[in-house]
Amino acid sequence: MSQLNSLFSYLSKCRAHSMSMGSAMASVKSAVQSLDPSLPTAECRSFVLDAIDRFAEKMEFSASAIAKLCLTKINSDDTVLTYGSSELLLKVFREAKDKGRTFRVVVLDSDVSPTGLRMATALADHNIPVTYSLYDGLSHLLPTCSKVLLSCDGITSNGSVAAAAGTSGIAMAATRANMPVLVCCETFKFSRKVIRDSLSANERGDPSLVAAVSGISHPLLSVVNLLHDATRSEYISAVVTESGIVPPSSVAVVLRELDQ
Amino acid sequence: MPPFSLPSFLSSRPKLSLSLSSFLSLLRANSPSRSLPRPVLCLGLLEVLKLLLSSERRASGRELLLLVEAVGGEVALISTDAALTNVVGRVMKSVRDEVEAAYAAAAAGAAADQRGGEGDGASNPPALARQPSLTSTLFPPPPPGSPELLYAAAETERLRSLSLGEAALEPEEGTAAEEGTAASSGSERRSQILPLPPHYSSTRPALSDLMESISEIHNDISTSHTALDDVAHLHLADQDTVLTYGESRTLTSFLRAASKKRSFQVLHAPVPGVYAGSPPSPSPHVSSLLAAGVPVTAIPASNVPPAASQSSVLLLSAHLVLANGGILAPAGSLLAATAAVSSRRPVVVVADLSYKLTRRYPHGGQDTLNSLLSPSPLLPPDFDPPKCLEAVRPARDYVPPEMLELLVTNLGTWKPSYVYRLLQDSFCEQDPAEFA
Repeated sequence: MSQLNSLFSYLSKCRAHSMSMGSAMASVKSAVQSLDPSLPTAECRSFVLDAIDRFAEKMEFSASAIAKLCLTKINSDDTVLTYGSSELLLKVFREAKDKGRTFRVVVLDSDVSPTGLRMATALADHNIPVTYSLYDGLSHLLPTCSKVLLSCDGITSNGSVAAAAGTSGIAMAATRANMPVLVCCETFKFSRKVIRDSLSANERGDPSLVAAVSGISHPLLSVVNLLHDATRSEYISAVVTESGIVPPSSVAVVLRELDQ
Repeated sequence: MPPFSLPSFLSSRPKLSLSLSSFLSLLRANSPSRSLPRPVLCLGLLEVLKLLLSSERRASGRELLLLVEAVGGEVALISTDAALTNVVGRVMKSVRDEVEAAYAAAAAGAAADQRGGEGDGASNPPALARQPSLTSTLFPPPPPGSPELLYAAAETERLRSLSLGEAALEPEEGTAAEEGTAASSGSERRSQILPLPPHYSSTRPALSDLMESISEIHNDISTSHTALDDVAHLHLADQDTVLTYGESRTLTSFLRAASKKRSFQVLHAPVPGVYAGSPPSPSPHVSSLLAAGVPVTAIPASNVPPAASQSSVLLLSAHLVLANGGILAPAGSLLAATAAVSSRRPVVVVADLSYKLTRRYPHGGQDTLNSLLSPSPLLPPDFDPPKCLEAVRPARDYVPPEMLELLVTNLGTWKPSYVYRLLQDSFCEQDPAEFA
């Protein structure tokens, strides 16, 4: 057990782990802790390996269940706004398209980590009409959209959504425009932590990616490129999980159910 | 009278024609990525109009207005920048003011001549020279023979002479409609000035007064940044963290002026699309602030919402100030303003009203006076877009007045609700909506 702990702390020292990684580590630890010491080593090993496989299957299953639930929320003639790139949302959109919905997607992207272009290209290759823009195109494109669908790194027990930097601005703008904001999140990404603002737990990205100042070096200049931000629960309409579509305030309740 | 035709007018005036065509080719050479500063373009246009007005000494007020409108129409065909049409609107207002002043002076002179024999020496001051009171400023009764009554009378007479169907269908045109000729070709612009009262055709504005008002506009545009810089230190406090989104020369000079008396730091987020693409070029705004000794923290635009809660004020620069007090600002400003308002931070706009104030309203929402720029900086160099993909890069956002705390301008500092009051100083509502 102590070996596991030292392995996990080494990983965390390399880079602070995300909420889903934390869940995965916790599930392995609890599998090890629930081992019967009287069993032979081979059986113990296979027990833990089974637990790991089950976790991986749960991840697959969650993604499919969320895609199925989102079908009820994506109607034909919808224009769905999304931000950045997400395998989960790609699956959701592909399945909605395969089930015959005709909808459009607007993909917004950050200029410092332009993963959204990959997402936009993948959607377009699947014959979904896509409009691609950077973060500054939001105000122009938001009136053309009917709902916002976002993915996240995790949701804390006070309902804050931890996601890629920029997500909070999109959720604020959409809420101001009375547009529903849906966050797709598997339950293994729920966390018992509490986050109040974007700055208490964040990561710095590569400062040279801020193009405007990449050529300048001056003692008075500092460059900050935060990778994550926290969206408060009042800007989120609903969270789509594999157990159903719940309001962000229900995250703490779902966590409690999972414990039992 | 045949409809006014600019090409035939210019063909007999080579100097003016040369001046206008060189200005227009300067405008055509502008592109979003490399353009002259807007004040420079406005001053260039003002020079052309000054040459036009000073060389037409025999033209009546009506003819001058048509001329200015025609030149403005040519400019509007090439450039969608409303700053240029604002300058045209201001010049038209100056012409109207000088015509009215000349007419009033002539009327006073005629009245004095009539009473010359009585010897009392006191002539009735013309209505326009009456001392204004607060009530008369806010709710001025149109005096008899005033322009408002004459416009109303002229328009009513014209409409009465048409049948109901014709009146409903006709486009807004000036005297060209009455001629009923379709002689104008597609390249000639039909005048859209509302019918002018008869004294405009017979009165010539005093040339020296007219040139003086044009010079005032010139001084306004060239020195307005000083007025802004003088008040900069009043709007920033020591230890402030100023969040700025987007760049402009006005904002840079405002912050530099403030830094002479206040010590603050700047969180700067550039507009994403501007610096995308390779090779990245450093921001002149940031370099200039650093040279002035202001600590700058540069952040990407996606970090603006969390940064808003850490700053004391969001400072935006307006591209245009609209008649309802809202502004057009670089794309993404609405998002920055939303973040600031959510964190209860004031949004302060710095705007140079000498050429940025416009009479237009945001009827098109986010599309008002907006344009889409080339999306190629967003995409990698050898990118082959799939058929279903379109990339979009808007130029501006409209930020509504209810999100703005203050407008700091060269004329003063007010809440956005005051802007409508400034319009009548610069523009006349009888002028075509395009030129204001």
